[in-house]
Amino acid sequence: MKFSLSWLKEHLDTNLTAHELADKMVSLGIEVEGLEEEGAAFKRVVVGHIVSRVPHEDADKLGVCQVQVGESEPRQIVCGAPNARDNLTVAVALDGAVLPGDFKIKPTKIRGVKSNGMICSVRELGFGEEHNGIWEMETDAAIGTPLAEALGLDDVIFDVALTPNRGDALSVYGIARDLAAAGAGTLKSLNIEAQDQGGDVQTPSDKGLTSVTLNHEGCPFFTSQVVTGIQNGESPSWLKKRLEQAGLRPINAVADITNYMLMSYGQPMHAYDMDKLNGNIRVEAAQGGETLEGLDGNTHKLAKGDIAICDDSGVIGLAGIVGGESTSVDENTVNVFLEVAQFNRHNIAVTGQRLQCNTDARYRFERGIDPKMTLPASILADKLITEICGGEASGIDAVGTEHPEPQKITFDPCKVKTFGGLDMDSSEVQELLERLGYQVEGAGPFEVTVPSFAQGMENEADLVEEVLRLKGFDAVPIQLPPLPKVRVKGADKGRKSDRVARRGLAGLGYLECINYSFINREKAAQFAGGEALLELSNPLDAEEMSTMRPALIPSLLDAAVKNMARGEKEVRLGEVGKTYTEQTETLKAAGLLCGKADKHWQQGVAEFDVFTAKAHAMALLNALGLDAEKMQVYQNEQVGFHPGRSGQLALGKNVFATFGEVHPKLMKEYGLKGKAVLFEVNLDLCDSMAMKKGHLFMSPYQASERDFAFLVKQDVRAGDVINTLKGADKNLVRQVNLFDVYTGEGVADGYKSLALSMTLQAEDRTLTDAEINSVAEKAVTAVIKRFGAEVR
Amino acid sequence: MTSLDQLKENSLEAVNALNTIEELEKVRVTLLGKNGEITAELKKLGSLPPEERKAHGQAVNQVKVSVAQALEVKKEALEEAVLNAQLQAEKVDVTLPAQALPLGKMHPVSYVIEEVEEILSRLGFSAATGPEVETDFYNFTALNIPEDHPARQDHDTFYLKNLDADGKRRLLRTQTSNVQIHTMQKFEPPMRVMSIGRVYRNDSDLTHTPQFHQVEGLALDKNLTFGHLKGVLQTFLEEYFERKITMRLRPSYFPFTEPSAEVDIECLFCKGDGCRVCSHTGWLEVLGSGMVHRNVLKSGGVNPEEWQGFAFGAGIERLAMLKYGIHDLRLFYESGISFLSHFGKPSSTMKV
Repeated sequence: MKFSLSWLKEHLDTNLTAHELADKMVSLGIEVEGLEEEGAAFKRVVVGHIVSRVPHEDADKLGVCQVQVGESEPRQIVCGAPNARDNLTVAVALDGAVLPGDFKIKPTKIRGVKSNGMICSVRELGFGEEHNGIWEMETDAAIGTPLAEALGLDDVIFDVALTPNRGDALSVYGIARDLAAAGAGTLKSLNIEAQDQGGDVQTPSDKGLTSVTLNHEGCPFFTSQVVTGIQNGESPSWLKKRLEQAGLRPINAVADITNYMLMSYGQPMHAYDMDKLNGNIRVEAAQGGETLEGLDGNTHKLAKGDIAICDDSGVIGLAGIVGGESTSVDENTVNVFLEVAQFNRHNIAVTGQRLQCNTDARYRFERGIDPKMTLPASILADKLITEICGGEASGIDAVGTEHPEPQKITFDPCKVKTFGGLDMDSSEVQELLERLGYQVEGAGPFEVTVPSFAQGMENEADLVEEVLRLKGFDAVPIQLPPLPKVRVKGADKGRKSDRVARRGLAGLGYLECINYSFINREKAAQFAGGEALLELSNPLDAEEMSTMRPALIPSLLDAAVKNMARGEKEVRLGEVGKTYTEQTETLKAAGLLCGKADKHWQQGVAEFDVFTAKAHAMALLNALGLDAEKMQVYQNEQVGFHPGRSGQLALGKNVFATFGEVHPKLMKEYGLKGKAVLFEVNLDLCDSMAMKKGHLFMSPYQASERDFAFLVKQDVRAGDVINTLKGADKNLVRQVNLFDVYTGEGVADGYKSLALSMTLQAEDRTLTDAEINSVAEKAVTAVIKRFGAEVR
Repeated sequence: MTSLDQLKENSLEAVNALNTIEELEKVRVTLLGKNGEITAELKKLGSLPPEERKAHGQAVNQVKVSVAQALEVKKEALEEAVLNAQLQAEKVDVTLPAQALPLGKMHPVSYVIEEVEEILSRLGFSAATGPEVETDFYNFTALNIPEDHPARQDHDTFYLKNLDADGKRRLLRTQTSNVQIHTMQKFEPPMRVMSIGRVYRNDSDLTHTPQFHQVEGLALDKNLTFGHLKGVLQTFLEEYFERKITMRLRPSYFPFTEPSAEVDIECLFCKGDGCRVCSHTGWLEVLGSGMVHRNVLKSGGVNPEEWQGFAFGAGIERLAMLKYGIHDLRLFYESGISFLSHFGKPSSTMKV
């Protein structure tokens, strides 16, 4: 909301500067987003008078002027303008002035003659193009008057933002009232005199012109009056200026006056062209389906229950939101029907939100208006209309209940201390509340009556805020509470694994990225795995951001594509985040490796493959406190992965991680070249599964090794062979290391040779050759039996 | 000169002339081996008359010792030379670039989350988590934001097509405050909890991304006041920014707190003089806070006559930008390697 200082001063008697007032507003909870001094561009530019001009001794075209600028002595200014002459009133930029174009004025010497300031042309001041000479001013302002003031540009425009609870301050008057309560000045009384109240002047219904019937509980109070015989032209310049300063476009006097009243007092009102009305006015619930050509240029379709303003022609206005085109006032309007009414905030909010119709009226009704302002605003409006447009005002018809019973809150003033943290006498609490317009009765707990303009005051906490707000939040002393005796345990599901995974990924060389949780629907669908996807009904981008990702993989692939397009050669990205299906949210971590690093002089190009992904997945699982070595490795087809080069790490049905090379088809779809490997770990599952550490094995006795080479069919899985060897004696076999896989010369087609080394060790003795041989024999026999292996 | 002297002289000369260890070994055998010349002299002792044996024996032995010593010295010298030659040959240009290990980094948002968690943890707050996909109740209604409340419009909520298991409309949480309600429902006060995580709003421009992170703190006890809130915030801000902070609380409005305050700090860059970062106001808005509204306590099943407390929240990205000098919010979500490498933190960084 924008308004000028002079407008504010119409309601507030104050000596404070605009900046002081702005600071006060901020501490009262009225955020000042901008403070614009209209004349800021003319700082240090004043009205001056050329006392004398003599030619410059060293330059034909220059003159040396003595210029009076309101100081004890005239200033000497060198000026080249042809029209510079004695006895001329001019605009003088003094040292320190900054003219348009960042032109800084400072004392100087021109051709050896001191010059202290500059006499300005119209162009130099930024008013126009005229630059043939200095500006010959015509002004009544005294010499030395700041130019801005002389030109009437000395106003300051405040731009304030108000939170939804501050319906009371959505007007210049409301802000003045709050400032006055805070001691920033005195609130001026409304300019209503006895004769303005109408007295025995006939009302519209008395005159038989039109009557109003209220048939909707969303409209508790409605005032109407008629001004006849007006001339509705352009508004006077002071009114246009006020509206323009507030960011509103002047339309015609009557419309401008209703806007001005809304801005001044926070009471929306609407003017109808009396001669366009058909019969009497009814405020009633819409049936649903009616339409209204709104003044905002849109056609609005009403829904059942909307508050509609109707005459015999049908709906002529959407109450409290927007008026209708068919009955609008224009420059030809002679008779005006003025509606100043109250509408329920709930009804206005529901209708306004549905119609997406944002108007100043709706904004105020939604946040609550002061019911005690309706009648005064009505009186002030008709006064202003007759002042500006002439005509004759009728009396006011008022229908309904003006205001509800005032609200009362029982308030213990000690709460300011026990809740607000500020030690304050109850007498001061009372005084502060009264300054804000509250009536305070009683001594122990107060009985506080809430003023009609205050919004949403329901309980003691609200009143504590009012007191603190007026006193200033800064007044509350800072205190550190003692540490709690009990800590909440077990509410942090996922936090620890989240952190371990992020650090773990970084430790493995991945750059952690954070991608959007919503992705392209098709890309999401590929990884849905038979589950229903979670979809946004109002996505920011219907194409690319419509579906909650069921896996991290598509996000990482997209990120890789973006980076490759930027010229990155190698991408090593990780992410920790949630994945979603219709009914689940699962925290996961994933890493992606693709592209090729630059060739290194020593080691060539570093290669990675499915086993890199496997190693990284295992490292992360181990970091998460699991024992990846003890997990089963499944080789099964996984969506998005190369069917022959991917796998899973699991314990029974619980799959902890999936790893492998990205399916070539997927690479092509995403437009990625070369090879990419990735892994994804289910952190929620890791969190829920604690693997026992098992027995700590420590032995001072010697370990022995036995090497084997087996010839097995190609499809025999090395992991199974390793497990078989380990199974030969669970107590003595410490480790099995597969150190070679060989195919080629000497090995028949369809076969491979596996070379393994088995380490045996006991905790309580040195093993004898006989014991070692016996285990080795058992192991070999088992491998032969299980896999049809041949010992080489 | 006796033949023994001659032998000694010849032997030492031979040793002296040696150039390689192989030659040295040969010479050693020739002189001191089983059939070596000096060994032969010793063997001759038996054939000498007994009275000569002792003296001759000593003389031969002397020769043997000095030759053996000479051999030893020579051997060391030759070995040294060999090693020096080897070291010389092995010399490399150490300015050649080593194969760089990939330096992984945490996203600045993750790092700031850790910092914030550490600080709040020291102030007694335990971490709590909650769902990102929520119902109207937890995101709005329970937080004292009823259906027609103007604040709902400010949230630009993402709604979901899929209903929840009970057939209720769902949305992506617009704030981490939903965790307040879940936590109050599950745990008994007194409590101090924080929740940090992703939140979503349907808004995207220079200063808004549709997804961002929030941190939120909630403290409930018998006698916590607005003054305690100020104490926690001041401590938190000074710990986080690692300097003395001038803080200003402005009355504001949040449906879930009453009184409510926006928290500004004196601009970290211009010290309040006004600059581009603070839009020439001298202040930076960093937090929202207030005393928990009684309706919120009731939604969480907490008796407002018995318990009271405060809550506060901040945007993680904002905190990160201010502390680490990141100027463009959108960079956080573009996954650019150059950004991540520059502003990310290695996993070994342990500052707090």
